[in-house]
Amino acid sequence: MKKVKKKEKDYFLFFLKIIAILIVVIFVFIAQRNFDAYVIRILTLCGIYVILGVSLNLINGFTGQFSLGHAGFMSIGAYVSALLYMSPELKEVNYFITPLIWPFSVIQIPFFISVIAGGIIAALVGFLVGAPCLRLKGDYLAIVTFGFSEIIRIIFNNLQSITNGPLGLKGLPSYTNLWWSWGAAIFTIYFISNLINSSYGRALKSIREDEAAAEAMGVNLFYHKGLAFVVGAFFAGIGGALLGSLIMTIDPNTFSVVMTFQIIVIVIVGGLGSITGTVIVATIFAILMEFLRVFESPMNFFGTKLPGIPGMRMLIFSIILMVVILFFKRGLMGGKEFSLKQFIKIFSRDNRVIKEGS
Amino acid sequence: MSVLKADHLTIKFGGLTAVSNFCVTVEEGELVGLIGPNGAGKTTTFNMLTGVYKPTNGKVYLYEQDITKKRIDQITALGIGRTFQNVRLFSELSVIENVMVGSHLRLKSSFFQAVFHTPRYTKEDEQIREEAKQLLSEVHLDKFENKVAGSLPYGEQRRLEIARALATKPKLLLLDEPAAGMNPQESRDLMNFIQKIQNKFKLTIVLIEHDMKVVMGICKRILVLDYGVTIAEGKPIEIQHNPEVIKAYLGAEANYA
Ligand SMILES: Nc1ncnc2c1ncn2[C@@H]1O[C@H](COP(=O)(O)OP(=O)(O)OP(=O)(O)O)[C@@H](O)[C@H]1O
Ligand SMILES: [Mg+2]
Repeated sequence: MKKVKKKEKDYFLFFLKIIAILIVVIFVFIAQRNFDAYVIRILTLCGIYVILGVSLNLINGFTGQFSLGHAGFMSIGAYVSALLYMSPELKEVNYFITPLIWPFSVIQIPFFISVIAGGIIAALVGFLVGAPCLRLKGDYLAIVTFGFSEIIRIIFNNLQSITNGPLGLKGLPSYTNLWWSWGAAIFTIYFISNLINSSYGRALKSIREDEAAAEAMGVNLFYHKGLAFVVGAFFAGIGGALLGSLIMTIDPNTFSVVMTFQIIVIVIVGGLGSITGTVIVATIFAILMEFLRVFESPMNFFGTKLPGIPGMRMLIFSIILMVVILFFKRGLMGGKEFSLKQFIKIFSRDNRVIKEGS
Repeated sequence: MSVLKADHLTIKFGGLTAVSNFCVTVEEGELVGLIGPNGAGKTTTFNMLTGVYKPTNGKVYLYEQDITKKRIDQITALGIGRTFQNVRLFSELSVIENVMVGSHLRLKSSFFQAVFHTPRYTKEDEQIREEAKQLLSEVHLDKFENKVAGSLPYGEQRRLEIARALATKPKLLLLDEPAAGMNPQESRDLMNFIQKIQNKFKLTIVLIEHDMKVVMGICKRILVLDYGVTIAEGKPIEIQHNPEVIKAYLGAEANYA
């Protein structure tokens, strides 16, 4: 009797999820056809920030490993994919000082595969970097991953024959549209929330709660922390790859610590350990980033001309971060999820506590 | 075949020898007490048995297999479960999730099966949840299933910690001062409870206790540590009248005063 009821509920949930995805798909369809390029661009950026925020939340929020390396992984994803999807002619134009080394100079593969490749290489580096770092905790881990991100930046600035150094890559074909970014965002949300709600996810959360106790319960710390880093780095690489093709110009400094900081702000404001919080805040963040641009350009304020102050947006975001931390110590969602289950709960008479997980 | 054998375990922290030449052999189904005054080295001994500390000298055998150099999680998988002196639950996880973490080491589904919630994984997860529920009803915590672990009253947290350790399916259970912070009546109840789960799950148990009186009732054999040295071993009655033990405890009490 109880079993049947639960089954029914599961189907209903599944149905709701499908509807939610359908709504997004229809919205993207309409938006891509009717909205003007500027709005589409902002919405595309939203999707990318969702990917980056959710993947960082896996490492920082769910596993409790404070990483500052996200920009490094994004950089790897952006460069690896660009090297694969750019046409040989475009490469020749870009690498006019130091030619690009073979075989990158001649290959060109489809965008989709290039993006995946970017993610995979980022994941691989995530593993190589993660492995020695995983013994470190708290601040030490933060410092080392920050160092990693900077090292990537410096290496990319100097690997002239592969990355074109500080000149960067210009005129990248703009493949990234709403479909790519929100398609990847939905897959990221699906993958990471499923991971979080699986036995592996419980192991990751137990590490966040108490490492020593987790280990005593048989959780292999090295393996599971490595897993979080690899998955997080993979999606950061995907996000970086999509971002590269959206902004069409990348150089090593595009992926500086400021980039990581933005994503950290998203994750903390949304709530460490809350995927829905991250999604909501990432979307708002991307939109605000555009609207607050006016503060960085010269303004006419009651007849007086105010000069534009570059970096003003980050100042505003820092203030928002501080305010949120003051009033919502644990972020807007405080580690909780806005879930369809709560939704069902509101609309069903069955008011028993509903099981965790989505 | 002995369940546990500690062979001359010694550990030094800098100049301090926290435990020296600790030897014990525990047989199947025994309930052994490990007592001693504050700082005697009881917890340190547990930490050596479970791989948290690597002993400076000596070896640990579980069912005659040398586990001295194994990782903590490997030792858990081989069959040693434990609780902590200061309750260490996964406070922000729900009560049932705490127990389910203990089953993770036996998960057969691969990472991708788990992420894509394949039927095989879903079935396994269902089973893990079912087992966890049973364990919770065993420790009378089933009604708290979906509560956040950190919100439970202290006594319930202690019982949850035991349930979580049981989820790893240990053969040997190490309990570090499970009755700490309880009044005499609660301590007695807890000791009955421990005996009950020992029978139910066919466990071998080593129990640390600070207060000699608490373990007198249920342990057939007691070891006494003082300054890292095993000063006595035997039946409760012998321990109670052992002059060295009395001296150690009186000395300790004099220190408190
Ligand atoms: N990691 C460590 N580094 C240095 N000294 C340690 C360490 N762990 C334990 N000690 C020391 O070893 C000695 C034994 O400590 P232990 O915690 O094992 O005592 P205990 O018998 O469990 O006492 P209690 O009844 O207070 O729990 C103490 O002097 C303690 O300070
Ligand atoms: Mg102790």
